[in-house]
Amino acid sequence: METIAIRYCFKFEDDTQEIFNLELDANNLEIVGNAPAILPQWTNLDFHQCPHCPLNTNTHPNCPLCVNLANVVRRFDSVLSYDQVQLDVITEERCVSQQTTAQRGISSMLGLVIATCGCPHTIYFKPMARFHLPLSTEEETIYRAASMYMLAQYFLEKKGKTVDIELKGLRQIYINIHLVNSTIVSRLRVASKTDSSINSIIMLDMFAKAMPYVIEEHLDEIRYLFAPYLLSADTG
Amino acid sequence: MKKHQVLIVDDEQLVLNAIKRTLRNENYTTHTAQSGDEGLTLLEGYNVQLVISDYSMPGMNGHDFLKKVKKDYPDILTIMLTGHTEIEIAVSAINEAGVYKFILKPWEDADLKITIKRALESLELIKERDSLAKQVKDKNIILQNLEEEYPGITKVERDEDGYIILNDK
Repeated sequence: METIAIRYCFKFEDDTQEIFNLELDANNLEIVGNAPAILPQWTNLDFHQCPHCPLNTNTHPNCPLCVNLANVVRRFDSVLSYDQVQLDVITEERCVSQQTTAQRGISSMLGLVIATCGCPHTIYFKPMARFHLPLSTEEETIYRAASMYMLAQYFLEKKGKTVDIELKGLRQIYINIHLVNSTIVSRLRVASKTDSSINSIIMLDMFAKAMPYVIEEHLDEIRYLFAPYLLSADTG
Repeated sequence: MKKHQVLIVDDEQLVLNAIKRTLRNENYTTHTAQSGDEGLTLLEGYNVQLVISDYSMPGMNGHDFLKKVKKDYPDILTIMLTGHTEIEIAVSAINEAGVYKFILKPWEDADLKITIKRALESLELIKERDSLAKQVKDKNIILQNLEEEYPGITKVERDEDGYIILNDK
């Protein structure tokens, strides 16, 4: 199986480090080999199951998202969200290094894990995971998510399907993600001793909360980037 | 109606942005700070009625910050945001820092908006109550003074023109 490797290396101020070697199946962009051998009880599908979860316990005894969070939560259980870390993210194409807080670093990694875990509500983010941008800012995420969704509309249009240039579908995806995040935090409150994992999901949720507003306002926050297109349309 | 001023304190800019977006169409002026110290500096310069603060922040945590706000600005109402659900944090925040309400992260925008609205309404009610209490107190003082000056007054009323009539029969 061909895989895409992404390494997250967290170095803490006390010289300890945590290294995660994440691998994605290159064909279906699902994360592989990330589940612990023994799954904790809080990963059971029916434990704080999302109200809009389409899975059932017969086919999925465990929540695919929680299964992939379990190792991360356990390994960061002594870390405080605002602890400083030196983060190195290494992919085949490049290395990104930044001094940041634990919650930002973990949040960046969880964004990748959640998009590729197989949760029916997060699968739409697989194209973004393929071109993972570590520690992306709010504006970068708005740009990337909107671009990804518009590209999906292009492919739908090529298949003769109805397209959604108002981004209503993207807005709904993010509303669903907010619900997933809220439920995951409920699970983590049981699973986690410190706040780092919880706050990392909360950070991701801030992106999820932003998008519906930004879409309602016709992406005004990134409109300025397209001035050359808009200008040539006005003059042409 | 008076435009209320709200101070939001969180060490994460993303959280500040999210709350500002949520309140964008509300009739509030919002100020933001990324630490308790910065929050205290802003409070010196603005007439803030409500402070919303994160609990978990480096340096001065939300509990200590709101405790200081309560001490220095007793009329300001405070709301604490937290990802934690430990009962000890809640009890101590309410008892020691006089926190009006707890909001768990991640919050629902509708809940946040209604909590802020109710907090500010309760603040207005407190002001109105204090103002009425002051009026009653002032009137009692006037009456006491009148009684001292005109002992034996049995009735005080106003005539058609608003003048006070003393009936000391």
